[in-house]
Amino acid sequence: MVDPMKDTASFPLVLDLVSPPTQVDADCLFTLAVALECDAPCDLSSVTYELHSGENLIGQGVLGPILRFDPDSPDYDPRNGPVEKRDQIFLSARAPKALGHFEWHIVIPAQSVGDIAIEATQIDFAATTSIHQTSLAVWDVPAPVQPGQKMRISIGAKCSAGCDLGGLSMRILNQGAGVATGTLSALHPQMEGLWCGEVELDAPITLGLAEFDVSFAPGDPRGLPHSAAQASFSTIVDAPPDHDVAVAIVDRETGAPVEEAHIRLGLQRVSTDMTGRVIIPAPRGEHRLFVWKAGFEIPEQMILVDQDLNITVQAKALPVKNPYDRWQG
Amino acid sequence: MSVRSNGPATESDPILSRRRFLGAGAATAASAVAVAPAAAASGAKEIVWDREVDVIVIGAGASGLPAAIAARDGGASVICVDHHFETGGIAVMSGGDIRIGGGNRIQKAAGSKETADDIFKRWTDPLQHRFADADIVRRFADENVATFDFLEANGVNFDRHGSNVPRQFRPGITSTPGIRPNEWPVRTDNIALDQGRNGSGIVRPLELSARDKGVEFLLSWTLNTIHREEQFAGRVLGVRIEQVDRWFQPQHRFLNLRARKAVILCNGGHGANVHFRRMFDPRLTDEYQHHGQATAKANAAGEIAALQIGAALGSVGNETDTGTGQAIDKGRLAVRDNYVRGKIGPESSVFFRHRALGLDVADWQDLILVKENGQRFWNEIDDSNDGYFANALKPTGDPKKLNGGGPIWAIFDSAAVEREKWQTTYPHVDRGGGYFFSGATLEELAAQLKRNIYQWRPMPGDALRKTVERFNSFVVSGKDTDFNRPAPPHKIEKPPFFAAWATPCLHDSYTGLRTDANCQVMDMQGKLIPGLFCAGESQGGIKSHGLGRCIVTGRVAGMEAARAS
Ligand SMILES: Cc1cc2nc3c(=O)[nH]c(=O)nc-3n(C[C@H](O)[C@H](O)[C@H](O)COP(=O)(O)OP(=O)(O)OC[C@H]3O[C@@H](n4cnc5c(N)ncnc54)[C@H](O)[C@@H]3O)c2cc1C
Repeated sequence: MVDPMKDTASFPLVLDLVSPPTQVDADCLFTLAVALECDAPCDLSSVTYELHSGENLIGQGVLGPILRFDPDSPDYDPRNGPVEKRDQIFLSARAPKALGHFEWHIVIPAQSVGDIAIEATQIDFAATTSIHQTSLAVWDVPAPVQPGQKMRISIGAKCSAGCDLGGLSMRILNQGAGVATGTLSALHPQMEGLWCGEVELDAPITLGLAEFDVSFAPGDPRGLPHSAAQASFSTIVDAPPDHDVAVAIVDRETGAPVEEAHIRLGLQRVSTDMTGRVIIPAPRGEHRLFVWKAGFEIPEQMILVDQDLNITVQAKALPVKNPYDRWQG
Repeated sequence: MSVRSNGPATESDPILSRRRFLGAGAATAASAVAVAPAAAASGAKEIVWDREVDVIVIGAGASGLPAAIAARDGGASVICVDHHFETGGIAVMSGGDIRIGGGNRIQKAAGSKETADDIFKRWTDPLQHRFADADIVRRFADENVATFDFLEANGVNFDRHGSNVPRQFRPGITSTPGIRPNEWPVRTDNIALDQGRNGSGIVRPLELSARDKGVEFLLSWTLNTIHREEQFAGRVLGVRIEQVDRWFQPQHRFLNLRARKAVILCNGGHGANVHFRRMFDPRLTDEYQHHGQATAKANAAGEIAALQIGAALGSVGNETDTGTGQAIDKGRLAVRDNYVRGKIGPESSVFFRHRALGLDVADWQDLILVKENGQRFWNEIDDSNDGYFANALKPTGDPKKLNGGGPIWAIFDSAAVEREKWQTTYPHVDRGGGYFFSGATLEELAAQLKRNIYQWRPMPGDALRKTVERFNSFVVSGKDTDFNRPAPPHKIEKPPFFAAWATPCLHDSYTGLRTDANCQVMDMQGKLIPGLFCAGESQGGIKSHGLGRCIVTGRVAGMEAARAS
């Protein structure tokens, strides 16, 4: 558009928010994708913007690098082709610390880029701030264990906004009663923001499945409220072993060893080695011997363990599925 | 179109000829065609024709190429239009296992006594094929041997494929499940560049032969409208086509092509058109993808254009009779089109649409499958296809979505990644498109799934966590009391956790336009529509999977179209 009062062209700029978030973590940086439509024959990356909350100016900057519509980009389209053909910029802003609804105006004041005039424009953004969510992971839980055995497990906790959770503690409960506490002492070496700690606890003395809960109530690290998190894990308490059961799995037709077959003898879980063998310590008594290997049919059997045993299991190789059988009808 | 091959070619080599023709074809299309203004052709009388030929074939795949050649052999001038930028259709990435027999050269040499009657009996079996149109099957059966000869005469070579005789044609065996051509030897001409995509050995030689015989190809043009004298009466006059970009998106440039004799619809069916397929099975909501959709999108354009001028659908019962593979069981993970064979990697011309190689599963004990709500629904190591599919399609109970049960996600941990030796980076998994995610905790993982466009509501993180915790307790106790998976050996506990797309894909269209035995399309009154033919997966009638019926009916349609007055 040409403004007759000026001797330069003046261009309107249309802003639109692309999938704006409706909830953001309080006092955290988040990103807003803003689509730009403007016919101005100039680079808009140096255009300045302002962020207003009501009458207050709360931030300002330049639009920065512009993501151009690129049909060859690998992130171009998750489904069937062009979805968002407009140029986009990404504004980074810190959400208010107070919890609840907030409204901002993103304002581009009238300005010139070289001798090209850009008209003033504005777009509104509203969202809710929420408390940071935390969540847990529990791993390296041994199973089975013997009554009263010391168990060492790993626990990790993460804040949705990546807050520092170092030094915070969590409780382990068994049937509602606290049995141990642990402290988040270090960041996981490979995973961003996952605070980890090891916890030692005693296995129950009664045989059978034992279920534990982990409770993590971080309170307000950094002065910001965080949700509590919960997780559960289980193990199984078995009698101490009395005998060794040596198991060998062989292919029924060829006699070849079947390696990496999963074996369960009673409550023990193991896999065979390259020679198709494994030795399993087992308590006295009758136990189910179950073997699994993809592509084989292996019947399960009951084994009476009253001495050290050598057992050979014949595995029947299943015919390789013809992928085209499905269409023979 | 770029030519990527560097094969061992000689002057007389078909490979060299293909390259020569590809170059020439592109030039022909560009120079011979004047682009018409984008005005809609409102009535037959006002149409300004940009080109005129005897026969127009829509689609250059398993049915379109034989149709074009057969019409040309019958003396017709032919233009073949395809909305992809290459020929070959889905057939180019197929295994090439062609179900035709009836006593062909290879069968005879091996002592098979199969006849056309055996073929007819097989595809009209009163239990499995009760919805087939026996008139069409009869013609199909009678044309099997001639179509085999036609393929050989047009450069398709069956001799080097060792499995044909021992596997399919043992003396005394009358049923012929399939026969395979040699794979096209120039890997870079193919879509899936790993071995076993023998469908390339059908369509690449056929394309060469077609070009040799003077068939003209217009690539990257989609069918827009079929012109008929009156909307529901008179003969079909031609088509309006529209140029598309590499994403099949319309470019608002149109051409009107006049067909003096006939238009043949060979556009590969409707598997990728959600609303069309839901006419037959309402469960097939949009999360279900279609095999081969990155190569040749089966969007029912031909069927819809034909319905708009009064055509009828035929043998629709075939479609819902899921017994023979309309849908596929658990496939590859982390890529939306998860067909288990034929890897489409970055060197492939369609990788930009396919986006990832995907992860092959060696042992389904390494993961659990959950629905969009984070809950398991199946014994993951059970391979019974139809049972799996029926359960995968069951809704999860939310009143907002009572049809369809997806998306489905494979959930596993870093220990499983190690056991399976999976690579969780480009180009193996499709992270950017939202088909693969990782997270330090299960809640964090679940929260990310909303970036997938089909995940229609957030997966509750605590539901996913509880599912995994419960599954882990089954590992500890040795009993899966929910789905009876036998003694699951591995817990899912070691971060990071992963979610990989595992939603079943659709494979075939088993219904389409109603035709007579000559592949001529009928209207709702059972009258033949003059000048309109249809073949392949867009045609209703035969519930035989894949290439066999498409090639045979394509050839029949081409022959009959050339004869049309
Ligand atoms: C991975 C895979 C493996 C397979 N393996 C086998 C196998 O081993 N044996 C077997 O028998 N079958 C197999 N099939 C099935 C077989 O490939 C198809 O049934 C067959 O190719 C269908 O032939 P068609 O001509 O109907 O469709 P296609 O071969 O797909 O050809 C249709 C053509 O129409 C074009 N088209 C679509 N819409 C339009 C439009 N609007 N305008 C212009 N052009 C359009 C498409 O781009 C395409 O080129 C396999 C399929 C897949 C996906």
